Amino acid sequence: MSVTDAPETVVIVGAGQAGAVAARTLRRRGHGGPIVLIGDEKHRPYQRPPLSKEYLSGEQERDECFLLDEKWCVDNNVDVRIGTAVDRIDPGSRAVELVDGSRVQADSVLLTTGARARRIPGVEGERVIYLRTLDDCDQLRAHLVPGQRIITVGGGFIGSEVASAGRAAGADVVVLEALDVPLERVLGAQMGQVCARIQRSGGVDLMTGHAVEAVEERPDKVIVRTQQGVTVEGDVVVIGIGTIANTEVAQRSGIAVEGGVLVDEYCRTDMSQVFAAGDVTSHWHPLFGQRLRVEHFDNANKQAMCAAKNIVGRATVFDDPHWFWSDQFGVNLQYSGHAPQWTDLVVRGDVDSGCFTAFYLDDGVVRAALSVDRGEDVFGSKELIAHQARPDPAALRDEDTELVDLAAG
Amino acid sequence: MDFYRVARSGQVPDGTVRRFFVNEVELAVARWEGDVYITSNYCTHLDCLLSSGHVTDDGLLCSCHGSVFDFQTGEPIVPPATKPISLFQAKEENGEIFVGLEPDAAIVHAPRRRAEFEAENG
Repeated sequence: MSVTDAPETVVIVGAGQAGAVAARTLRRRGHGGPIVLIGDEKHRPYQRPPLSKEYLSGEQERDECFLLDEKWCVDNNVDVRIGTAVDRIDPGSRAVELVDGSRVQADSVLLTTGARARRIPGVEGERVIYLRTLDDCDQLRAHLVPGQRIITVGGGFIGSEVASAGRAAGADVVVLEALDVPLERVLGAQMGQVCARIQRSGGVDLMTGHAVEAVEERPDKVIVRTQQGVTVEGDVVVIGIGTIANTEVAQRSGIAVEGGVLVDEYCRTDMSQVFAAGDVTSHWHPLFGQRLRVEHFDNANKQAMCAAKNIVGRATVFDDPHWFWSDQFGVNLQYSGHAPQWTDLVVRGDVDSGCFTAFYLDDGVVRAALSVDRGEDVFGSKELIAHQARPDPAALRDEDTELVDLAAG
Repeated sequence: MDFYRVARSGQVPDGTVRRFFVNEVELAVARWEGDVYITSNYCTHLDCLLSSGHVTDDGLLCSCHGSVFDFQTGEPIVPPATKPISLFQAKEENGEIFVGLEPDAAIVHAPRRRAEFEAENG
C-alpha cells in the first residue's frame, strides 16, 4: 500500500501560516486522508508580515492576509476549527485533547503553535499594543493618521516597520531602543548603525540606550519613562521586544522543549508521529551545526513544507539557509543565514551609498549576509551560505566577480 | 474555446518556465517532470512575472517574494500570494505546444492590479 492510500488523519495544532502551508503541501503531496487544522485565534489562518507593513499602512486589503479560502478547504477535506484551544496530545493514543474536553483522533500530529509577543510585566492597556495578531493591527491602524504620536519600544523589525508605516501616515514617531544601536545582536554594531541611520533619515526620533522602566496610561495619552530618566508622551505605545514560543501544548504532552519545541532535521519531535514546524520550533540545523529558533516568514513556509513531506513518508532534511526581509522607509533589507558570532565583516558595494551587501564570515566561512537595496546579491549569498563557502574576501568585494561562482570552492 | 500554437516543445526544456504572448494574453509556460503547464504569467501577489521565477519541485516559484503555485491547480501553496493563478488547457502534439483560449481571454487575464487601476481610473 502506498503512503497515499492510507486514510490517515493528520491533525495540525495551530492554524497559522505554517499550519496552512502544511495543509496545502499535504494535499499536493498526495495525502488523501482527513486533515484537521485547529487554532485558538478567532480568525482563519493568515500571514503576519502585512500586519507591520502593507495591511497596517492600508495599502493591502484585509482579505489578502488569509491563506486558506473556505471553498478550497471544503473541496479538499480540510477541516479548519478556529477559536478552539488544544490542551495536549495524549502520548498513548496520540489523540489531540481539546480544552473543552473533546478529543480528535490523529495518526500524525503537526505542532505549529507559533509564538506570542513578549510582554513587559504590568504594561497593558488601551494605549498599549503588542503587535502580533490581526486584532492588534486593527487597533493600531486607527492611530496611523497625521498628528498622532506613536512610541515604539524596541528598534527591531517590528518597531522599525511600525515606525515606517507611522511616518508614511504622517504621524510622529519615537523609537526607544535599549541597545546602543538597533538590531545590534543580530547585525552587529556597524550594520546596526546603518539601521539607525535609515530610521533617522525617515524622520524617526530614535533614542538608543533607553530601556523602558514604566508605562503609564492616562485617558488622553500614554507616558513612557525610561531607565535613563527620560519621559516620552504619545497617543499609543507599540511594543516589539521579541517573542516567546508557544510550547505549552508540547510541554503538557511531555514532548521535549527548550526555548522551543525540539525537532530534528526531519521536523520530528521526540514523540512518535508528532512533528513541529515554524516559529515554535527549536530545530537542529545541519548547515549551522546548532539549534535555531527563528521567526521568519520564509521558515514558516519552508519548514512546514518539509514537515508535510516527512509526514507523507518522503524523508526530507530541512537545511534551508534561512532568509528574511524588511521593507522600511523605502529601503529593502534582506538577510540570509545565521551568524551568532563572526570574525570578519566584508562589504560588497559601498555602505555610505546605502547600496551594499555585508557578509558575516566566521573563521573564513560565510555564515550570513545582509543586503541593503541590493536584492540581486541574495541568490548568490544564499548559495555561499548553503555551501559553507570560504571565499577570498577580496573576491567578495570585487563587483566584477559573480557571487555564485564563489560558492563551490 | 480554440487552441492556438504557443511554441515549439524544444523552446521549453524540462525544469524551465518561459513567457509567451498569444492573442495579447501573456502566458507562463512551464515544463515540470516532462509535462507542460500553462498559466497566467502574473503572480497574484503583486503581478510579478512568473516567467522570471523558477520551476521547483514544490511548484512554480515567483522570485519576487517567494510565492509558490501548484502547476496542476494554480493554487497558492506558499504565501504571500493568497489567490490562485489562472490555468489554461495545454496540449502538446507533434513537437508543438498549444493553449486553449476563450475569445475574451485578454481582458479576463490582464494583470489584476492593472485591471483594478484601470477600472478605478476609467
